[in-house]
Amino acid sequence: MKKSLMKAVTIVLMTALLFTMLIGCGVKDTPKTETSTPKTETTADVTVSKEPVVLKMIEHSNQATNDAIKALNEKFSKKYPNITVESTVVEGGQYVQLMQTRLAAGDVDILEVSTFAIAIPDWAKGQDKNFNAQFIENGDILDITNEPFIKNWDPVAIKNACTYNGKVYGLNIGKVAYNGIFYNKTIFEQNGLKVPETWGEFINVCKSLQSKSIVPMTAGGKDVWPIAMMWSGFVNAFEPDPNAFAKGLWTGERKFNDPKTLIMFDRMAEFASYFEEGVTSVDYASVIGRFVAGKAAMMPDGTWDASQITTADPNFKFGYFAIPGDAKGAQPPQLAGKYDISYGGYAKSPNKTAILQWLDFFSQKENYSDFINAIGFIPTMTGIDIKNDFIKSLDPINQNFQTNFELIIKNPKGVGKYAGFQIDQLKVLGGSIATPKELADLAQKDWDAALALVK
Amino acid sequence: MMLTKTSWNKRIIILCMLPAILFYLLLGIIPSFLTFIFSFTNISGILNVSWKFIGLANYKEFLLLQNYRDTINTIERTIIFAFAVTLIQNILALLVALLLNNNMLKGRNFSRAVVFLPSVLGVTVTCYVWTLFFTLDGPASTFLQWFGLHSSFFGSQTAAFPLVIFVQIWMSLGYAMVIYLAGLQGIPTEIYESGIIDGTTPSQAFRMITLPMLWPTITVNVLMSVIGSLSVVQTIVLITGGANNTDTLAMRIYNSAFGVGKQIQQISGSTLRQGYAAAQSMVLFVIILIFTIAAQYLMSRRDKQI
Repeated sequence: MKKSLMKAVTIVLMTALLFTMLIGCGVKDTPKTETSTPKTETTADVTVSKEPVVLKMIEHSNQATNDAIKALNEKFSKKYPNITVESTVVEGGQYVQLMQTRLAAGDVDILEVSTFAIAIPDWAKGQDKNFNAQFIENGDILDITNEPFIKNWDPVAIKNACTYNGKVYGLNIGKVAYNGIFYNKTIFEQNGLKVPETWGEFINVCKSLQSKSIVPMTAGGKDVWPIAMMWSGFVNAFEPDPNAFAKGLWTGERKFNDPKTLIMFDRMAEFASYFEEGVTSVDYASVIGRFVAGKAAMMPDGTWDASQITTADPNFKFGYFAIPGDAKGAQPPQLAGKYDISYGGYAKSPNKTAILQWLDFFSQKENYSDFINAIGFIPTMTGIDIKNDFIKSLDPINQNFQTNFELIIKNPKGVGKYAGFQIDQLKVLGGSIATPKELADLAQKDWDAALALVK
Repeated sequence: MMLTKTSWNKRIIILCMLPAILFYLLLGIIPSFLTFIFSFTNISGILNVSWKFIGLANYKEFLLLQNYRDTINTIERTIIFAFAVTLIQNILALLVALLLNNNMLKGRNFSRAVVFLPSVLGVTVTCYVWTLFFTLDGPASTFLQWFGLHSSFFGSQTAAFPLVIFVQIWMSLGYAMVIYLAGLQGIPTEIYESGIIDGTTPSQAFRMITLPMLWPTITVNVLMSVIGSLSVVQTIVLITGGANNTDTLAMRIYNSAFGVGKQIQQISGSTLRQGYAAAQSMVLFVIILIFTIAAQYLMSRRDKQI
């Protein structure tokens, strides 16, 4: 009797333990959702939820945008006290993973989507479908084509940045350029320097600075991409038709080592020689601090840095110019860049009404105006009252905004590390390749090898 | 039917082991088996997206369609990383353990805690500390400048990889040392005392007593280091993101599967390709298996000789 009782107790205990452990593993936070018959109210434009809701938002790390979103969310919760927005911010390189896991768990409501660069041209063979396209095709991203707030936005931006297969999936936060260079106005003024409009003038500015023991440029070289991305700006500056150039590389009409392209390699090598010593050990996170502290007169980067520069030192005077080409044109060298991220909703979220309320709130001119003035991007809504001096200053070089070449070119699958314009591979930037010609030959060799396999 | 005490005890043992076995099956064996299956599919990792079997296409892409030179370089780097970490970490850990096992040493416990501290700090803190240490205006750079020297450290295509290896060793030295310490303390002092009576020198005592008695511990540590270092990802992600010639095979797998890293498009063409990542994982598994078997064979052969 005693033994059988012990057996029974042991079995019950073990079973209970096992179940507890297994159940413990499967427990997840139940999202606060609206009830199956949500209390809603319809105003002129949008259906309003009255139930308490927590909207979960995910963002990649960009201090200015994160701060502006925080302010926007606070304002939104004041207007709709029943809705709170909880935001999770991760480093850019980890955003895709976060998006994937949150969507898989159904643990997100508002997220960053990007539809502007997912079209694959006919001439680029064997390309994998972009992950954003996969999420959209899987029905994960909310279709907002027929929402009334869409009409508040610039139709061109909606078409080019937020539309996929004829449907709208997001609201684009603004355009950014990254074919240019920030410059310290005080240093330029003190040394009698003018904003360069040709390549020759740019080199003269660098030489003049060097002759006065002023470091011409700094960049976040440790992270590689802040310098590497500048090649794209060179193509925009020196190639009259970047689309034809990208296609030509695939068809064989153009080569990385043909005489016209070699000019760009030479220019890039020259450009690389004016960075501060040890630039490849400068962390991207610290480069704005170095620029504001006057450790270099110029800093090539995207316009997205503008508000962080102002935050670092509100009295710091700076401007931005595009990498110039050889000849002076009727207009100063123009900006090239991209539409930045768009905000969209999770299509299978139970909080759809609240998501649409948030998107509607973001689409209101006064709210977007505050947001865009805070982040310093080029607006994607017309008729915005621009108070941000930096955005105003971009006007003369924003008359003919082009798509950055980086978004036009498509690398063949499996392409080697030298293909493209890998200026970080040059010895002057700590790489192993001595001359631009040598790098161009290697680029073409890697490109040809990958093309042969794709075809 | 009455159960005997022995058979009852066996059942209790099995019952007690059952949760652990279930967890091992659920979290170890089944995912590994599924990874093998998924390596023959085009699964993306996006929930509910349809996928299909594509035969050996993922293996063909990795072994034949990627740039041959870059693939070989990555595999070479993976092996160099594992070899350097295993060798240096174990030699240093053994030396430190021998030193800190000495009863004569003052502040022994404090020293042990200091050596073990990096293991407690965790990968993120450790990587952040070393990134700051090796930045342009950091202490390392200032030190080199005193001698008129300069390095870009983690930003250098030649220095970044050895420095990542250094950080990995610094971080995991403590664990290896603790295991060696445990092994050293398991050696009966009587054997050393007998040796002293027989006139052994300290170096003879190390070769003839310590090393043979410690061999099983060395085997465990070496195998753990080989397996661990071949699949290291976090250190590389946090310090360089795979840039500056620091990407290993495990890093590439992460790139393909989750889009983590700084050269995502360049390396894998696109992200969220978990079928392709699974195929690369299988290649890494084969490499780990070969090295583990080779290490185990060499260690056991040496064990028999001893």
